[in-house]
Amino acid sequence: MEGSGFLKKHCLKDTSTNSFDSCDYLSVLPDPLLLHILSFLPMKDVIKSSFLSRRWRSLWMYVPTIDFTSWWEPEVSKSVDRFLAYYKSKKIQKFCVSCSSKDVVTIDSWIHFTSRRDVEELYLDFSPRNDKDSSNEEVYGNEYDGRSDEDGSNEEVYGNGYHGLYKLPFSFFRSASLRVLTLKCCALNLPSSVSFTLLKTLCLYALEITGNMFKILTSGCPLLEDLTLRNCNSETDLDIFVANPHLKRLEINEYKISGRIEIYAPSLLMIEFTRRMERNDYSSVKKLPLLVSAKFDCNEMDDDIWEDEISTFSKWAELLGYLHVKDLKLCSWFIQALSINEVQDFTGPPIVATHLELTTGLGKWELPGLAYLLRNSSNLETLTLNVEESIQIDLQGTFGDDYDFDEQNYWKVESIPLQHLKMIRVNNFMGGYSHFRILSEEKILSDANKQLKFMKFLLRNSMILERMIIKISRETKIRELVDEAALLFKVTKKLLAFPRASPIAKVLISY
Amino acid sequence: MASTSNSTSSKIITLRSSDGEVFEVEESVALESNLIRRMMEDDCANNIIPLPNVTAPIFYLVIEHCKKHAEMKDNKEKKKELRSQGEELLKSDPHTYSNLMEAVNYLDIKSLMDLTAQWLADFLKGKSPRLIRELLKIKNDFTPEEEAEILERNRWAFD
Repeated sequence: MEGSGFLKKHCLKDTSTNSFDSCDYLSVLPDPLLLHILSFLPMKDVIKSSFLSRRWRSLWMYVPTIDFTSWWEPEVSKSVDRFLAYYKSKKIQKFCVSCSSKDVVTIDSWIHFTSRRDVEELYLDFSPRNDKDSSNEEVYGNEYDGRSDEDGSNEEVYGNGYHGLYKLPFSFFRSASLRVLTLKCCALNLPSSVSFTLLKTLCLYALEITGNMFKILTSGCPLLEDLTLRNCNSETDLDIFVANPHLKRLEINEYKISGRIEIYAPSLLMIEFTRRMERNDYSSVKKLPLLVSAKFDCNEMDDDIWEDEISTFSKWAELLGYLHVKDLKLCSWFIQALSINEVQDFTGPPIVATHLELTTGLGKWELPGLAYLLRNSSNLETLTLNVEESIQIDLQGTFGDDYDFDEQNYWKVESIPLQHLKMIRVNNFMGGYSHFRILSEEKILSDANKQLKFMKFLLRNSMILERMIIKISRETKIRELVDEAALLFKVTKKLLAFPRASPIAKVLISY
Repeated sequence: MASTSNSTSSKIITLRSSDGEVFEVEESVALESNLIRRMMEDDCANNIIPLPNVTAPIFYLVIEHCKKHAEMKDNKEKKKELRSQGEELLKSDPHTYSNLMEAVNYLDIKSLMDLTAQWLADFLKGKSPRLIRELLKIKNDFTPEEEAEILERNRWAFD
């Protein structure tokens, strides 16, 4: 009979669930598992778990991760004090606090407390804030929604007043357990030598790093691999000096800053610029001999481009020429910046990368930039496109009209022989819409069309292409507006029918 | 219609669950488990690896989630989808959840440890103790005196 085996099994399971219905399956889990679960909760919920039952009553006092970053501000220091007074575990995995207090004695006592318990990760944020900002939007740095603070009201611009900041005690700078450290908005008051024997990841955020501080700090971190600098030296030059042989990755994440940047990091393999690139000269990246990968994710740059700025845009094309990297990742803003060069027939230095990863919405002012990149990357073997709705630059004045071009037929008239391109990956095809986007059927179809046109161009110009792998995004919003099956069928048919310059090219489509 | 092929032919590992069912799993998936990794290093590579603490239905779930987790690396949508699946499981079948959590712990799979813990954390977040007890069938075994005492002791966190 039909599926009796499955049904039997199913019923059996059902009855067993019913017969144990009153059973509490979670409380039987061993302590380490329950504690692991608690470490994913905000502190309030961790403490609240004590009300559940006897099993849970004391667990919170052993939670390995202590996170007071989302605590209601005026009470933070008192609450941390209370909590630590109850704390029973001999080992702290991670301690995070956001607190604008400058009560040195109290904060020092937390630092001693955590270091006695061999803390491995510390997140110490002393930025001034008002109550309404104490929600943890900004907590882990990379999760912010950058555009919401366009007005830059409270955020990270503390330019004039480093003297009022909390100073870490000298003893802080000796630890044989710390692996990950984030310091935000405090005074880097270094002893003559530092010893973080296991530290691998360091993030300095809104600090003023002057003189030989970099040298002292990094020479005490023999294992340092990953360094992030967020809005440090916001009004002064940033001279990064990291001679560590293990340093692999450097991220410069800045917003509303000025001054020069100088980077000395001979072992560096990867560099990333995020948010904005507003320093007046980035050419020191050419002094990074081992660099293999560079990423420019500066989508928060000003979208308004004024006519007197146009002439400075050649610097972005030149910057790519300084980078002798295999792997180059560019955001949509950067691509648009290259467009400004391309339409003026400015030819920058060649790009040596063999892999380009581009995030683009294929908007009008991204097209010339894409053409520029393809033409100038004669070594290109792999191209990755991440389709994401992009914010289009707004060309002020007459530039846009003076250099206008036909968007519809852009790829039709363009011809760029891609002699080494073997592999094309497209992620999020027909997708990448922002959450706030109100979509229409027309918009979806016209975007799909733009993307198809570019695919057609790529297939027509890639002489030795082996594979084009297209991952079609299936966003629910699209399903609501169009007959998805019909659209997918149509798109697939088109993609497979485009003429291919390479006889061995395969087009693979996945949903 | 075209589709992507799983062209990379990787090695297959054979494993046996506590109830005797035999699973064939791609090496790349199996090695997500530090336990299996260690066992393979200890040279059980060509034999069937026994998993005495994991039943077949649970092991099946583990493999499914390992695969999904590998897929979601560069996919925000998938990530969200996977994270939201926990609530359903916890509501409909907390028994399977706790078995899954134990299995993941036993197999020592870091990524799934974090995922399953995150599921429960998301589920608990912001809910009142009374509601949590009700949903997860946790019995309130406090005496009224004990309850009052805890309330008194931890009140500072909620004022």
